[in-house]
Amino acid sequence: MRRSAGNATTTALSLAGVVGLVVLGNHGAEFDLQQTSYATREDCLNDWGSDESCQPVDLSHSGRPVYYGPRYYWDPARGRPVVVGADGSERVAMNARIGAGGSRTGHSSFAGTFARGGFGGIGRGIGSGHGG
Amino acid sequence: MERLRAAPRPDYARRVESQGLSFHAREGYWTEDACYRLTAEEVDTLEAATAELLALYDEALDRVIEQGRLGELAVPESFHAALAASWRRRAPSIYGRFDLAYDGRSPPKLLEYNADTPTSLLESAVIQWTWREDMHPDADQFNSIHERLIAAWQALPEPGPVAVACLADNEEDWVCSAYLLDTLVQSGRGGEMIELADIGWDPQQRWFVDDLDSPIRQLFKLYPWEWLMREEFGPHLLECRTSLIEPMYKAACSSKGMLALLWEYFPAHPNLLETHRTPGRLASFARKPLLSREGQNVTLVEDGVTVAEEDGVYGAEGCVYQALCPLPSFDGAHPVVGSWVVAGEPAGIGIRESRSLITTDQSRFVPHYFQPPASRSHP
Repeated sequence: MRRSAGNATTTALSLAGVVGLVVLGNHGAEFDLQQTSYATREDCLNDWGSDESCQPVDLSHSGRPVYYGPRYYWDPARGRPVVVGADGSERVAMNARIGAGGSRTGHSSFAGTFARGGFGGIGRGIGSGHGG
Repeated sequence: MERLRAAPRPDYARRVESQGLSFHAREGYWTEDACYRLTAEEVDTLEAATAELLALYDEALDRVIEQGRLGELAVPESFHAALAASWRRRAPSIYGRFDLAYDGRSPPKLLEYNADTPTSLLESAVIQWTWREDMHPDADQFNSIHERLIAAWQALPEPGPVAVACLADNEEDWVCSAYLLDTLVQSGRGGEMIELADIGWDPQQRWFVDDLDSPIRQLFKLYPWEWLMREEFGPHLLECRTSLIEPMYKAACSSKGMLALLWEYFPAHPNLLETHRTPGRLASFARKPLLSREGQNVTLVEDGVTVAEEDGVYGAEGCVYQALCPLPSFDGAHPVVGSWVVAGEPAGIGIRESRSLITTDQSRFVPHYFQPPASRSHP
């Protein structure tokens, strides 16, 4: 048989329902996402306390890596930073020493200021189907 | 291969809508008042031809890159090295679709390869399958697309979710993307839908980011590579850490220029049509832009006389001239067999037919089935 009947029964889904299930990134829109860059790994660890929170990024031409702490927002109710993962998951950073005012050693920036709209222009201009 | 009249299921509109085919009524796209019946041998023929064409494309792409001919495929020069690298490391691919002319008698002939952004996926994988379950429960269908898509997502080397991006204002693209997201969810990997224009660029960390500024580590884009390359964010494709699916080498495979190179590399191959980059060598031909979609700007010429043509916005990069291969006619309908490839393997077919000789986005989808030989036991 070209196709197993058992698997086929899994396909009858409401796609609209599926879309609703998988929207990620529920960090809470009322908070500003921030991220801090550090010149040294030690500075980063001092704020965040763990290696996994301090990832080196080779910025191509800089010659040495910059260390980025996690993306987070400050939760005044908890009095703690809340780390937001790439998949939208959240966890309270219990071991972090970073405060409400941000880092004393790193450079903080809002993580919501990226350029957008750089894709899609040709397709919108053509206006017909983009598949085939 | 036969075209049969069929009685539609009384509730077919509700059924297909519940499965996500929201545009079934547009231009009579899905009416299930006809179907195709194939033999098991014909299915074997289509499956073998698909595997053969995949092998031809692999070998041709090796040669194109080795010979520095990506420019002939309208790939911008700044992307040649990155495209070659994506091919050498065999960056993961999920799917593609060969469009074949096939009448059940002659060998299937390749019309074109929708390697990058094929649609009609939901109807091929799911809608026609449930039609078969309802109408021909004892028959079979050349269709393992759904299971193979799920397995393909599971087999991606990088862990984590995949963002699925398209232009939200195109219903057909949206439905196809939503179905792919469905398979991502069923694979256990998960993902999110994102409008292409909402994709952001993080210049410090070199990620594309989603609408919540989260890094997109893996991005499936139902949007042609040749457009991505030429848009404002195009240069970022050369430095980004985001893995794109389909991979960059599909920009070469989906160019109609490959049809001419295939003929040059494998002349007179039974699954290929004679194709050239320059006019004058064929009296009857289909002129196809290197980069075009849904039949736009295709012109059919028979013995020097134009017999069909479609308007469109493509053609600036040049054309190929492919020997005219009149589609077979069944009750005045001209079917094209879309033969799906998932993760590098033949996966099933979907048949679209039209009254004109050029298959466009106005064609109809017609389900199929075949009767397996009695000697074959089902697993």
